[in-house]
Amino acid sequence: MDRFQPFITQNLLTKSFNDPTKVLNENRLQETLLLLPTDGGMSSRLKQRNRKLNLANLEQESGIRHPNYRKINKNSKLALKEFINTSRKAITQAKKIAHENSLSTREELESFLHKNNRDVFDKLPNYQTFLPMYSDLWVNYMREILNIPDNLSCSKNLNINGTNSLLKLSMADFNGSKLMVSKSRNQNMRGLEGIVLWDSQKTFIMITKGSLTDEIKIIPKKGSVFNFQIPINDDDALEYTILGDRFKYRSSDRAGRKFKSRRCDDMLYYIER
Amino acid sequence: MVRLKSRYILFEILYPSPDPRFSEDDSEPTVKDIMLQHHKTSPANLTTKSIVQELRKTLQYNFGDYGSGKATSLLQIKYFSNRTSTGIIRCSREDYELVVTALTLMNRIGDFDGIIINPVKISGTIKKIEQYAIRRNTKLLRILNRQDSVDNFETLISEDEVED
Amino acid sequence: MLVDLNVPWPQKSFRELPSPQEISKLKATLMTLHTLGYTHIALNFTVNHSDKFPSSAKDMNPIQIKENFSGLMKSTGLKLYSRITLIIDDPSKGQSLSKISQAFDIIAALPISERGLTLATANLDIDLLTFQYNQRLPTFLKHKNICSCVNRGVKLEITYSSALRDIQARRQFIQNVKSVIRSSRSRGIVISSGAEKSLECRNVLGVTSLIKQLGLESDKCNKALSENAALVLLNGRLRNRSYKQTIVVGGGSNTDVVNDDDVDDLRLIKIVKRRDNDDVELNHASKRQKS
Repeated sequence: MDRFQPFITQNLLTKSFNDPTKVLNENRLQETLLLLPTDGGMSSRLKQRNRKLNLANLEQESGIRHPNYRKINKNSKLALKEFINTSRKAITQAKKIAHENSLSTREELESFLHKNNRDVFDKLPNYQTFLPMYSDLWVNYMREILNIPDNLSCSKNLNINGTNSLLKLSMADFNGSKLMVSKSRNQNMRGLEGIVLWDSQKTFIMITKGSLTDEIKIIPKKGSVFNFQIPINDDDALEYTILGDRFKYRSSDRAGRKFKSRRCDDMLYYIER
Repeated sequence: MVRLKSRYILFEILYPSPDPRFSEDDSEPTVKDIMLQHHKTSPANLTTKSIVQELRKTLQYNFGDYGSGKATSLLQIKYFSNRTSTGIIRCSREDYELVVTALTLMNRIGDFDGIIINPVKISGTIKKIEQYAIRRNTKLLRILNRQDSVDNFETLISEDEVED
Repeated sequence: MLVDLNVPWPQKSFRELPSPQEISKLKATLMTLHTLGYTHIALNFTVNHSDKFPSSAKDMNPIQIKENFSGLMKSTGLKLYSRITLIIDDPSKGQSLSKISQAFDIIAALPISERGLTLATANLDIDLLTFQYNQRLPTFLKHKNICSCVNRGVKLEITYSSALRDIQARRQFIQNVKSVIRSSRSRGIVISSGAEKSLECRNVLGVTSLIKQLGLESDKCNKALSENAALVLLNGRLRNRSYKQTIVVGGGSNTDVVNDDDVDDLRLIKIVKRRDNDDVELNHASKRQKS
C-alpha cells in the first residue's frame, strides 16, 4: 500500500517536467471526491437531436434536386428575382400614388410619375419592352418549328401534320409566348393574358397589361389551363391549349421527357361551367 | 306532438312520338317544335283516379305488399291538369323515394301507352312546389316566345302545323 | 351539364348501314333526351372485338354525326359524341386499340367472359367498362379487379333502360347493379340510358331515385350523371386531341376540349380568327424576312 502512494503522486498526478518530486499545482487535483449536479443527460440528448436535424436538412436539400438538374447561373436567377421584386414594389408604390392623387387613367399616372417620382417610374415594368420577345422571336420560332410558310394568303391551304406539330409543341420553349388563362380553379385568374418572361418548373412568370400599370404575375401551372394562338396570316391563327397540370416541367427537362397519360379526375375544373 | 310530415312531388306527362313528323320534310326541328311535341294536352279520360290506380298497381308490382303498403299510406293526388299534363302528388316523407321510383318505372296509365312520367321536383310544402311550377311554366313560355322573335320563318311553319 | 353516354346507334356490324327510319327514331330519342335536360350525348356503336375492322381510318367510324344531326345540334345546342363498345370474349382474337381509338371519342369494353374481364380491367386502354345488365354477369366481380380499374381512371357504366323493359330483365338489372356498386365501393360509376326508344329515357330525378334504391348514395348518383360522365368525355377527347394530355388542339377562351366542335379532326388543327391584331405586326416580320 505504501509502495503505491508515492508512485501515484510521482507518475500520475504530476507532470514530470524537470523535477519529478515537485507536485504541479493543478486544479484537477482535489482532496475529496465531489458529486456535481447533472442535467439528467439533457445536453447530450439536445446535441444528438441537433445533429439529427442537421442531417435531415441536408437530406431534404439533396432530395429536392432533380437528378439532371443543371446549375443555372446563380447571378441570372438572382437578377430575375431582383427584377420581379423591384418591379412589384414599384407597381404597389405607383398604385398607391395613383390612389392618393386620384389619378384614374394610365397616361395621367405616367406623366405624374415622370415628373414627381422618377425612381418609381424607371422601375415600372413595361409591356411594350417585352413585346418584341413575343412578336419577333417567339412567333417566328413557332412558325419555324411548325413549318408554316411565310406568305400564306388563305388559311385553308395550310398543310401541316397535326399529330407531329403537337409533339413538337410539347417540347417547345414557351419563354416569350403569349398565354391566356382560359380556365382555372382560381376564378380570379381566368382571362389573364400576358407574355411569359420565364417558364419555371411550376409557374409561368408573365407580364400582363393592366389598366393603370403593366403588372408582373406569377401564375402556378397547377390548376390552370393556358390558351395560346400562333398567327398564320393577318386574320387567322392556330389555336392550342396547354394543360398546366400535365406540364409541370422546365422547358429544358421537357425536351427529352416521355409524357404519360394519366387519369384526369383532377381536371374537372376544365369542363365545369 | 309532431305534425305529420309529407313530401310533394311535381310531375309531368311527356308524349314522345316514336316517329317524328319532321323526318319527312327537310327542315330541322327547332326547340319549340320539340317542346310542343313533348308537352301535349292529356286526353279527358286520363284522370286523377286513373293515375292513382296505375301508381298503386306499379308500387304493388315492383315493391310488393310491404312497399305498396308503406307508400300508399298517405298517397294522394293533390292536383292534375289535363291541359298542361302536370300534377302534384302528396306522399309520406319516409317513402317518397318509392313513389318517385314507381313514377319512373311506369310507362302506361290505364290504356294510354307511349308516355313518360317525369318527376320534376320534390318539395316539403305545397306552396313552394306551386311557385316552382309557375316559374317553370313561365320559363318554358319564354323559350317559345324567344323562338318567335329569332327565326320568324321557321316558327311560321311550325305554327301552321300546330293549328293542324 | 347532364351527360348520357349510351344511346345505341342502330347498326350491328360494319357492313349493314342503318335505314332512314332507324335514324329518325334515333332522332326522336335525342329530342326526348333534350327535353329531359341532357346536354351531352354519346352515340354508341357496339361491335364484337374479334370482328373484322375496316382498314382505312375513314371507314372506321360509321356514326356520321355531322351528316345526320348537324341541324339538330344547331337548333337545340346538343353536343353529340361517338362511342364504340367492344364486346370482348376471347382476348387472343382481338386486335390493337390504337387504330380504333383514333376514330371514336370514347372507347368502352363489354366483357362477356372471365378472361375478357381480366383483360379489360388490367391492360386495355379504355375509358369505360360496361356490362350487359339484362343478362348474368360473366363472373363474380372482385374488389381488387374493379378498384384497380377505377384507380386507373376507367369508369363503370350502369345502363338503366333494361330496368324499364320486362320483369326478368329488371330482376337481373337489380342484381347486377348491386354487384357493380359493391365491387367498385361506389366509386367511379357512370349512369347512362341505353335507350333504344324514346320511351326509355328518364330524367335525373327518376334515375337518381331508382339507383338510390339500389344502394348508391344520392350525391354519387348525381355525380354519375354529370361529373363522372363528363370526365369520361374529357379522357376520351384528350386521347385524340392532345399529345399525352399536355398540349391540346383548340379549346379557346370560352370553350374546352369536350365542347369544342370546330376542330378539323382530319388535320388535327384548329384555325380561328386572330384576337391580337394590334399586338403583332406579322407583316412587318415576314417583310423583313423577305427583304
